[in-house]
Amino acid sequence: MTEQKLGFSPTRRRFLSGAGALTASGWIAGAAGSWTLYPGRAHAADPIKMGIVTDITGALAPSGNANWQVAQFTVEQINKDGGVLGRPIQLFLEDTASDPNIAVGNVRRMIQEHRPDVVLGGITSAMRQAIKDPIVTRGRTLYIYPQLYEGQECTKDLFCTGPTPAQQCDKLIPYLIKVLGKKRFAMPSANYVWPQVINKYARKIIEDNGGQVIFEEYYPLDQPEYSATISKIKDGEVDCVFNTVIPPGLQPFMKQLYLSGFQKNGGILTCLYFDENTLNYLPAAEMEGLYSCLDYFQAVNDPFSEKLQQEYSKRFPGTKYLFTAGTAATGMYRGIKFYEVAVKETKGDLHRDVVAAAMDHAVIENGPGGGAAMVPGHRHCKMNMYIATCQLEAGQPYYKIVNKADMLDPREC
Amino acid sequence: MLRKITTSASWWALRALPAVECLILLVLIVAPFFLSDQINLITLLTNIMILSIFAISFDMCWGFSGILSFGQALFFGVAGYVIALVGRDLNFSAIWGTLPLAMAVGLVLSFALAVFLLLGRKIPSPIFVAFGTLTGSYAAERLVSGWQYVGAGNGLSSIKLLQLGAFEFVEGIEFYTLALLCLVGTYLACRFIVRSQFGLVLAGMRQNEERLAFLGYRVQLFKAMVFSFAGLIASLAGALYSYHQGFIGPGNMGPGLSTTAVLYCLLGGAGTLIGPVIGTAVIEILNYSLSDIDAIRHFWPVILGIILLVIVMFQPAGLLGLVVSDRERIGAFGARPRRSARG
Amino acid sequence: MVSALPLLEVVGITKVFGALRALDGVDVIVQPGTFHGLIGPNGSGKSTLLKAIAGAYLPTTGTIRFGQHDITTWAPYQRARVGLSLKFQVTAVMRELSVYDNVLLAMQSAETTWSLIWSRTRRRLHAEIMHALDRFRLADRANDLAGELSHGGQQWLEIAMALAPSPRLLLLDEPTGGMSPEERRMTGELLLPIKAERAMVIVEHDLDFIKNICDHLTVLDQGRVLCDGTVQQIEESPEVRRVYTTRV
Repeated sequence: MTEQKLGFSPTRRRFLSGAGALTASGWIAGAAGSWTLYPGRAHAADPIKMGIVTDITGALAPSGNANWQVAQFTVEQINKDGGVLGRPIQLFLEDTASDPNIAVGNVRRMIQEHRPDVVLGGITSAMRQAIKDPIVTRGRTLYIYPQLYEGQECTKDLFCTGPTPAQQCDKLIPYLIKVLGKKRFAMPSANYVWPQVINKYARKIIEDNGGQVIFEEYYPLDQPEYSATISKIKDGEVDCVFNTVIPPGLQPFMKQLYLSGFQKNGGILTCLYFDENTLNYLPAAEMEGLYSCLDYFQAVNDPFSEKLQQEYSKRFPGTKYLFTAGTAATGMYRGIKFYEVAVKETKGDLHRDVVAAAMDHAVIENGPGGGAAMVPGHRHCKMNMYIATCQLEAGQPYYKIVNKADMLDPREC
Repeated sequence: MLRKITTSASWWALRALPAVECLILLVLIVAPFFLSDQINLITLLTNIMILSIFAISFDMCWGFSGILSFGQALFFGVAGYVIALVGRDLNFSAIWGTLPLAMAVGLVLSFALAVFLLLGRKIPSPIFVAFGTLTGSYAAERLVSGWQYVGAGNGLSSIKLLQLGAFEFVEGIEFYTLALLCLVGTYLACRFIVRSQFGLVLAGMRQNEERLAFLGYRVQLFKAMVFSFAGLIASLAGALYSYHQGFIGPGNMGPGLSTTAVLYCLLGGAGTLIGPVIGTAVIEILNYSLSDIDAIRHFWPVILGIILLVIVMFQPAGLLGLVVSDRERIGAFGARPRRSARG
Repeated sequence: MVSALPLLEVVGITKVFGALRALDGVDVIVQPGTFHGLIGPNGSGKSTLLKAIAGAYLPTTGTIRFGQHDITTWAPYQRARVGLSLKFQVTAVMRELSVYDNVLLAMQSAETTWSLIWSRTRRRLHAEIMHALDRFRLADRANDLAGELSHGGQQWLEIAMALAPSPRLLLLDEPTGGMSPEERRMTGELLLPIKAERAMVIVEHDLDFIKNICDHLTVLDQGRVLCDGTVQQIEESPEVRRVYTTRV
């Protein structure tokens, strides 16, 4: 690492988990919640301001913190290599606290106070819907959304670097039906936009492939009791649970499902956002045997991905926030790299329209799980997709890849 | 010593309130010039002004008419939702249509609630009214949380921007000006009413409702009128808030926000109209400054509760009570009779 | 000459509070242009009767007619609007409003809401208010808070307020309560001229005061009418004398 400038701002600072580690690595606490990494006195050039808005606290904190750590990791790598055309990236963090209502005010304030050149973040679609207005419309800032989602986000100047329903479901569901022989699906869902829209998409694919949806139900995000659902699963002889319940309701549901013996009796649990990081939400036993389809798993063993994981582990040794796909961390990496590529093409011009035009066709050669390429005019990107199943090895979950699809088209907008 | 002595010292005692009002108006007019490029602070002040209108609606109920309404957020939130839906489904957000619509919705809704709560056969106790409004607010919040059409628990975002002709209002000096005009307009309207003969009736109601009935006043009707007017004001605030924030959720309709209005008003000084403005400013500025510190952010509701408790126990007249006498706060309504020379 | 239609007709009023029978079949007739006194020992139900007439209580049984209206179940504000005005036993002036504002409040009660909001009658009523204050020797205290007046002053203010809406029938509940003899005398002087304009029912303990201003008396004892007639008749009644010496 190049020499770090250490300093403490006398004004307010955020007391984040791991804040001590941050300052030890040279991050300087700035006013009103920003953390700045200046990679050395030599790079006194005008920094590029990047805002990260994610759930550091609240129900989605394990995912949010993974996003934040990967953002730091990626930016440090870029800055170490001289920044973008000689300019370092300066990171601003805003906690969206898993609550869209609070997030709107916080994000707006961050944009007004710091005027970042680009904002990345948001995990749930509800959060994205809430904060895209202050970022894109009112803040007139470029926004990159890194998480898998339900599609149909075609707002101008909003780029999505996470998998779309076409990328996740088009291969996964036929696999479940044809290869695993599961035909009777249940759709227990959280009551908000992502499950509602993706269920509609998935249902069509299920039915087109000869499967059947036994029931589709929606629960409040914080529902603690699922015995009625479990009964329906038993009575309906459901053999595949297509889960879109999210935390905080996720934990009780998974526990009750597991205790009912669903998996023991051969039932398959599938969930589009489950990855290695899910261990922060659920005990390993409940994860065994589940299927997921994402743009990356740690088992993917191409040299670049492996090296990336090693460097991340070195940077954050022993951290419980893993560099995985279901948390949007891979999308975060991708988003930052796309931005870097775009700014290099614009030769340092940071105006939103110019960068957006460049990013529209940006390509990154390497990334976790493989490279990625923006589909021009669509603001979504092609990427490799993997179907994996979770197996336990000495009590630790490990995802075994069973299928790979190269550079799948997102088919959005 | 029961005679009032008109000396120069007590001249101030009856002039403090207008002085405070003028000072605050001056600050609000001048502030944008000092904050020209700090959009975040302009946004903060705009927010304060919008929430002040909301706080004033509670003051009209409680400070002037003795109606303890724990449900002002109901009208605030409903108006916010209405204009968000009108923007989303009808693609309409012109100012000449949506603000009057919001106020009309608030008026009708609050009048309906007033008929139910205040104009029944039996005269309701204050507790009944407090609980009735609280329940209304709570029920609305739960209803909306489960209703998909209005966004359920996630609320409505990306609200179509408020339009004046071709101009679209975002955070900034234009919205600040709009909010200031609305605040001044609301303030003057309320002030006119409470200083009129109608206001004298309200003053009498605060002190001895029963006596007023024997003078020939139908007290519950007066309360219903004030409550309806307050609902209209709260709705105006809700619409402005929705357009300014770009987001409206069930939390903007429920007991939490209703109680915040109570706090704004009591902290500043109930029954003065300018008191709620002061209270709102103090709370929101504190909130803004302290919200960075995570430790405090988690305890913010507790802190607010403690402030409310301290005010109610030790300084019921609020912050304004430190400079404005009770006499001035209550005011004199009649034309001052020509006085013969007396000391 | 007594007009055919009585101003106030109370028939068979009974008021029960739980186990207490405060009023038991009381009949009272008040003619226009008279001062009618209600007297009796403590606890005889005088105040209760007055409050029943004013509408503070609803009678358990019985009827009350005022002019051509049956007001038995009317709310207080409705009774006030047809010309019935009550002065409470306990002074109930608005202590934190000025004397002037108290009277204004009483005088503007017949205005419409619209007129009140625009303060249409403020100027017009000024003369009347000052006249009323003058009459009750309160003109120089007009700007003082009502709470600052002496007890006697507050009673006068109350009477002024009760008179302000020009009622047809004025109900006074112990107007001289707590007054010095000098104040009592003045109260009598203030009240007498009203007889020309309107009728009055007055509840009092002070027999001398009553004798001086009333034409007609009703004596209550333990919730029932003991005796009813002119002042002279009552004075000469042996029953009344007995009641007043045995029950204090």
